[in-house]
Amino acid sequence: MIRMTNVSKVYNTGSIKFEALREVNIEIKEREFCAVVGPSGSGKSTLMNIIGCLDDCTTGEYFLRGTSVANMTQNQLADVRNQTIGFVFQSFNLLPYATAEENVEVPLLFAGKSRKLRLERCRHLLERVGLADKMKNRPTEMSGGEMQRVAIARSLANDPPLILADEPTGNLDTRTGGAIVDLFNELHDEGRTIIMITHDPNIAAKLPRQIYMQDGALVDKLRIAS
Amino acid sequence: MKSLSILWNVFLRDFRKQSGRMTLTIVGLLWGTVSIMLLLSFGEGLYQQMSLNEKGMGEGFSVIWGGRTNKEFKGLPRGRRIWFLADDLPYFSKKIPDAKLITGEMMRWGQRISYKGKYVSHMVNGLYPEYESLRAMYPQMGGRFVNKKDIELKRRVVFLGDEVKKELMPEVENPVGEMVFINSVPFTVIGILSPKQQMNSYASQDAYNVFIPLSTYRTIWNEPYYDNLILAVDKKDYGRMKEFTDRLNLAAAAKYKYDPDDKVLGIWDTIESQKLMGNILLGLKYFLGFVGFMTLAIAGVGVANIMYVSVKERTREIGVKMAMGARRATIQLQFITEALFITFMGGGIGIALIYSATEAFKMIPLDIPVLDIMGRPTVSLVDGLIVTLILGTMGVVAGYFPSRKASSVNPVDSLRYE
Repeated sequence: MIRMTNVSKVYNTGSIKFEALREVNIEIKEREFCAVVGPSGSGKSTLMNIIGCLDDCTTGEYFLRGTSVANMTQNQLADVRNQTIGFVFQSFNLLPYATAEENVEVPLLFAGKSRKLRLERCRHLLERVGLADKMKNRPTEMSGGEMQRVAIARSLANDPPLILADEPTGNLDTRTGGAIVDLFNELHDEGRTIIMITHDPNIAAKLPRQIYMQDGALVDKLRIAS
Repeated sequence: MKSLSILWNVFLRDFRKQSGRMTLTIVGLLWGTVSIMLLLSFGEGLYQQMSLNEKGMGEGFSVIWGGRTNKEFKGLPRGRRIWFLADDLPYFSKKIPDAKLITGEMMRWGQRISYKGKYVSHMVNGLYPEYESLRAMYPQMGGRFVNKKDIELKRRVVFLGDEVKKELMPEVENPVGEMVFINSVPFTVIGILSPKQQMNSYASQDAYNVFIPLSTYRTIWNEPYYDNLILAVDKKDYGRMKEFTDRLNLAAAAKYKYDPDDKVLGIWDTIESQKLMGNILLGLKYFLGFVGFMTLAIAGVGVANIMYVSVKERTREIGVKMAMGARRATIQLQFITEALFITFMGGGIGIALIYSATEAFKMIPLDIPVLDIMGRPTVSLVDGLIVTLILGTMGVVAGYFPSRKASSVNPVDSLRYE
């Protein structure tokens, strides 16, 4: 599904150079469920954004389903984001002016689906995440857990094979977070590849595979400062 | 086709969802259009009214009056009176055959004009029929001006200035045929002057004078001298008026034996003074244009600002849409479509508003003196289109660039934007 060779990401802010990723090599197979674990600033989000085609890498190569992302046109990238990848953000990134239903509708809209199909799909997905009664609510009228469910429903809109979740439980309490993790487990059971950043060692430990990051590089085991 | 329908759906949806923001932007553009158009319409009204008023006295003539000699000439003493007599008209016409018209008038101030026990004191003017078109003395419906027969038969008929009519017989609906007295001589009213705005005048405003045939005038007052000669030229000769009056001066000097350089005659060249007025009007037009341009610039900056801020605010929204698979072109086209829509709505409603307001204002019959000078606000639709086009372009440009920037970077950068 995903193969990265020597991927680096360097941010230039004026004269200061910051290496967010250093020579990352990684391979994630289809139907894997990985946790990405690491301290703040270790490059987890940068890695995730590159995998999700929201950002590009400075050097190295990234193949998504065998295709080099660097060679894709802007329109192809947009289509990949629309069809292949479902992204769940830590801060939800819902459109504040739109209802739950309308937020879920966004990827369907850009996929050019008919209105009837869009509405059916939104209803189905929101029912699935347990928000059938909140379809017409705006984000401001929802709790954090509910907002994250809307975001997950949105990420599933075009039924993508790959789900990327950037600390989906980071802004939630333990119990709500647990329910969200259960939801991801279900999605994995359906045959999707899932990559999830998490801070919570308990959550990470339960997942089939852990990827540890430190200072922008992959490490075998975290040197935990005690 | 598919991408067009995507664009249309996104546009419709966002427009509905963010109608508050859209309405505010439209109102901003509308306000800009309305204020500029209002200013321009007042300017245009003023300009048109002044151009009209300027012609109130008629055009294309010089007024010439006699005087006294200041120098001795060929043994004749100084201080001789040189005034024009009846036979001067054919004499000058023969000497200056290319003049359009040479006529004369006589006038007497402070004459008692009475009607049914009411009286007023005004100037009486004796004149020839040519005066009608020369001095824009057009009668109101149902009346006429002095004609040739009146001159021939020395009829006691009178043409009243519209203000004189108002003073003497305000309630009389059809004054033609009524009898008025000038001093103690009865006259029949033949017509009333159509109201006109007169910016220039000599002696008195036409609205306050009464006009009778020159032959009748001469009989009553036994007056041999013309107070003024009027020399009119064809439009093609407007630039050569000085030449015509010089020739008249030479002819008069030859006949009455005075030094042509003596400046005996008084000459008022109305073409010259109307040219001056024309320059003032032109200056006014430039001034209004400049003010309009500055206002347009201010409104343009306002519209650009609104568009810029409104698009900038939506950078995060653009980021979310990009992350959800929106293509760049879709996003940019959406913003352009929105800006165009806002422009047409704001500009269109603005023009429609101001147009109907000024048209409605024209229909209200108002008798306010200030309107005679200021005119009524007049909208030119071309101006409106230009204003909308310029404001719209500024709005579209101001909205396009931030949207292009937000959709050209990696989605993650727009998502980070606060």
